[in-house]
Amino acid sequence: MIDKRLKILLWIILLVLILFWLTPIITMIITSFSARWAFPNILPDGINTEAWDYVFKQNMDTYSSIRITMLIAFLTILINLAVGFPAADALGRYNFKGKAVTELLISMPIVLPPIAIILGLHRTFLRLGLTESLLGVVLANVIPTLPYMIRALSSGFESLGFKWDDQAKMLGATKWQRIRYVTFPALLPSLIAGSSLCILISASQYVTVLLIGGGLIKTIPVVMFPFLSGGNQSIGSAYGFLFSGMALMLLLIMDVILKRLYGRHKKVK
Amino acid sequence: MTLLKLENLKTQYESSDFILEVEKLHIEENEFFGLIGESGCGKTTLLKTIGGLHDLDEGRIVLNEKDITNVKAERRNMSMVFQEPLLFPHMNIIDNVAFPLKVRGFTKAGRYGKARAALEQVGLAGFDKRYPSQLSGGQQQRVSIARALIHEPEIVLMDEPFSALDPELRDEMRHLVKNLKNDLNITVIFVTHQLDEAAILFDRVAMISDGQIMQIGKPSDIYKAPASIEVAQFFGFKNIYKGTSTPNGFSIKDSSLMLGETSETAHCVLIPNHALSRVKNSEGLVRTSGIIKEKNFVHGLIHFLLEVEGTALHYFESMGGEAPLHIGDSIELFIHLDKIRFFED
Repeated sequence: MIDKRLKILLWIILLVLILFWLTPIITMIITSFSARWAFPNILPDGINTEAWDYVFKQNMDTYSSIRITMLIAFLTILINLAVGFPAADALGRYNFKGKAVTELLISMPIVLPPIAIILGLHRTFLRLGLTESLLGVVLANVIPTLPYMIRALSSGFESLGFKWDDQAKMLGATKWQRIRYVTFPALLPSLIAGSSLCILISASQYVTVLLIGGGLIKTIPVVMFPFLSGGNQSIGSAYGFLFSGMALMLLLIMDVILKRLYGRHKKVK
Repeated sequence: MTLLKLENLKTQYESSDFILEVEKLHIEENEFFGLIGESGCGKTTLLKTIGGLHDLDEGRIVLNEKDITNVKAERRNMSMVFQEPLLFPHMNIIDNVAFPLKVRGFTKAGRYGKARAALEQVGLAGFDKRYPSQLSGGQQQRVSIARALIHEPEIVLMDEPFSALDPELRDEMRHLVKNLKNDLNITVIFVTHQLDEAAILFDRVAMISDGQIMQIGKPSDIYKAPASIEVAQFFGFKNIYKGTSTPNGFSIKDSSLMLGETSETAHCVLIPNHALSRVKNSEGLVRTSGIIKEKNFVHGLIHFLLEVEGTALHYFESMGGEAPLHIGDSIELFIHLDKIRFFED
């Protein structure tokens, strides 16, 4: 039957994709536990935990880099929310002159080459005295993340429309009550989507943090990079694994926090 | 007592040249008031203007002797039931019903007690903990009605709340709303395009067309004396003819039918069904005859489409009355001149 053959083909494609996705992760884990693993050896030259010892016991930057990466990600989300929420509302639910141009301008930071933006930003921040500061790095992180937050939220606003707002108004809810009890819970899926992208993009910034932070703000990518680019690959892999774990944890924490804020949120079955 | 006054109201949609104008509309306390008209006539816009969801360009809205023209929707102490139930999907039923009390600062115990009573009133006791998605469309609309009544609003606005429901359910809901209105002594303004709704529910009704109020009155009064051709057409009258006044009476266009009575400026005549009879039972009747072209059964009546002196005439008769008639038969009809109506437009 054609259906069966198609099914088998789809399974094969899926398996290849999973392998494609899993191979680097598995390699990374194995490398982090080995002294050396180079071509043409099929297996690494021995198993040890030296890299992990270094990451967690010797390098004191590890813990602070985890903290600072998380802190930057959360501050970035906060600013994104404050700026992006009203902007997304305007783009999602209202029509105005120049809307298409505005949408294009907002997408610019993800369209233009990041290095061009960062170099320009660096000069400006130097003049403003924002380099080598946490605030500077957070602001620099807002630029590549805000477009994603606005896009996620504005599609949420668009499908929400005005009818729920109108209904809540007619039941006596003030503007803030409407945002709190109606708009925000309804936008929760969009908020989670936008915030997840913010976390991932913010946490993986390297050049931005290095340039704007001037080497003083050490996030995981900043600490990790020297090991990957020629230093100790085992340690680099250990950091890589640590980074993935932290990113997953951040996503989980944010999901839990947002859902707890609106604990009664139930999916419509 | 007059509860709501609209005076010299004028409003327009930015994107179109549609204008809604209401010179004067007074709504009494405890009145069940209907706004009726074709879709796009402006009845929903008028309702939203009363509720504060649509801004006014000119005019004044007075509620209880207080000018509320510039009062925000959420401060007008009205409520609205829309075509969709619009229950908040992330709240369970009791929280949905209690929402108007929550935003007014009631304690949990206070609002839940009232919400349970309100749910009982609409026949949904025990549904507290369910979520909107677990309810049928009719049940959801009942919850929506309970929610709109719980904070004892001055006026409840309803925008075609039953038009998405099955006919049987619709009938049930109409009676529910009518009973609630009588039990709770509330004022309701109700938008619909369905005539049967008007007849069942409304104390008074305003017929709206093209952004203008054409006629205000009791549904039965409008039925007896429609103010214009448009109103008559909307109320389902069939036999409307153009024609001219002559010294001998009103002459119907493209027909040899002549009505012995006329008003000098008339250009149109309406012959309602109660002006037609097959027996000569009084004086002052015009006798005419026609051929039956069609015969249908409508709502327990027999509907005949006749050809009478070159023009079509609709005639309804109750079943099992006189001798049976068939397509092709000729029929003799008498027109009661005192029951026909002339129009100038």
